[in-house]
Amino acid sequence: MPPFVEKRIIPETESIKKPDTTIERSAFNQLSETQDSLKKSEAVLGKNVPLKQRSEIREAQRSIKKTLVQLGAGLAMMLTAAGMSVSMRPERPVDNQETSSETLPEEIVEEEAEEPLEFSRPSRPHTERSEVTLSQNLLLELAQTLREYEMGIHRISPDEISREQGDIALENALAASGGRLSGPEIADHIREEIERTCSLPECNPEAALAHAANELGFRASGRDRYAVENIDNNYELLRANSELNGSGASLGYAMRVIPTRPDLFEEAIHDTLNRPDAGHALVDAMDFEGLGLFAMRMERLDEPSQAQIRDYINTERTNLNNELATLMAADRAAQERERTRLEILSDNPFATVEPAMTAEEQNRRENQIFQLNRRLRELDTFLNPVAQSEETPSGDESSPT
Amino acid sequence: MDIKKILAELKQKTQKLNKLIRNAETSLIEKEERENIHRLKKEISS
Repeated sequence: MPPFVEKRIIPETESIKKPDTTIERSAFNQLSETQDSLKKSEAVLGKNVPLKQRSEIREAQRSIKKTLVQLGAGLAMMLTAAGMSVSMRPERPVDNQETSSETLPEEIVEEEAEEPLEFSRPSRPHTERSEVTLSQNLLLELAQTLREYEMGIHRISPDEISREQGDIALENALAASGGRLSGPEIADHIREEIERTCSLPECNPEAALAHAANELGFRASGRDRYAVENIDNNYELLRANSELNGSGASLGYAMRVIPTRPDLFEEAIHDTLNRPDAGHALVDAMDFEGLGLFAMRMERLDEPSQAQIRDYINTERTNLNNELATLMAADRAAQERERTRLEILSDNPFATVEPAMTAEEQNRRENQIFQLNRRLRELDTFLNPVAQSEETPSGDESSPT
Repeated sequence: MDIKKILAELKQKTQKLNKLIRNAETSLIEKEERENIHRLKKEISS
């Protein structure tokens, strides 16, 4: 029993002439609230929500839709009982037809036509009885809620589908591993799972894989990452992450846990040195942890490993130098084109000459040059401080705008 | 068909969805904080 029940005295004549519309009004309010929630849920699903929560939200949406369909059937019965005709034909309400057709993509309109529950405008003039007008509007509101729900579902982007499939593959692989598999084995499982689950045409296997790898990194960098009982597992997750995206993250992580687990650092170094992308991974790890820490950890290794690391970093430095030279050549060519364009315009201000590059492109290129120069300086400092001033190309090293 | 009952069910399900939305938003904020901390640490170390 509720603690307080308001008693409303209804005059006898009123109860006979006007059916109580309280239910309909509360249905209106509830529909509006439900509509808001469905919209918010779609907005949240558009972000990078974890798989479990994503599935729960989708399930809750589906459950709400079932209830909305039941409500529609109930209201249709109520209308029929009130003497109105209710059509269950897949027909859009007259008032919304024009605007909806204009604003919705064609495929959505087609898919909506298959929706079994749609309401048409009642055939009898609704001005006769006010309570019937309310029911009619309520049905239209309900149809609109369902339509928006459907639109939300069909609006899932390929990116989101790929992320979801990446999440599913990750969950399945981790469940199958049960904390017993090594990083490379986990990575293999994830690849297999993505091959299996990424079957929708919108799903991009590469994007799904990249997302799964990213998630591995996040899981291993969680709040309790330094807890002794988590270190081994986190280390394997990061090795799997490195396997999938070649980020050198396992090495970076091993460096961070070295005070407690120097064995992992050595293992990570040797693991990294056996990889085809060792140079890239090492430079990433150096970038991730900082030059000082990287150099300090390396000094504790045996001589052959140190020499191997230097070789890799030297090769990587040459690659970066070439990359920088190419970028700077492209930058000079663009500047030359821009000078020519300005000369043409000074001769004829009305000439139509496209700019050599947009401001955005220019900023991006300047930023790339700046980052490459910074990284090259670090590598030079690491390899040989004297070489720094002699070999680094003289690019624009000022901070990008 | 009891419309009151259906409405009560709809209300309950909507509240459940709202709760799930709040949880998801909290997770997103926590994740963003973790990323920010990670980025800051990286900036400080370099």
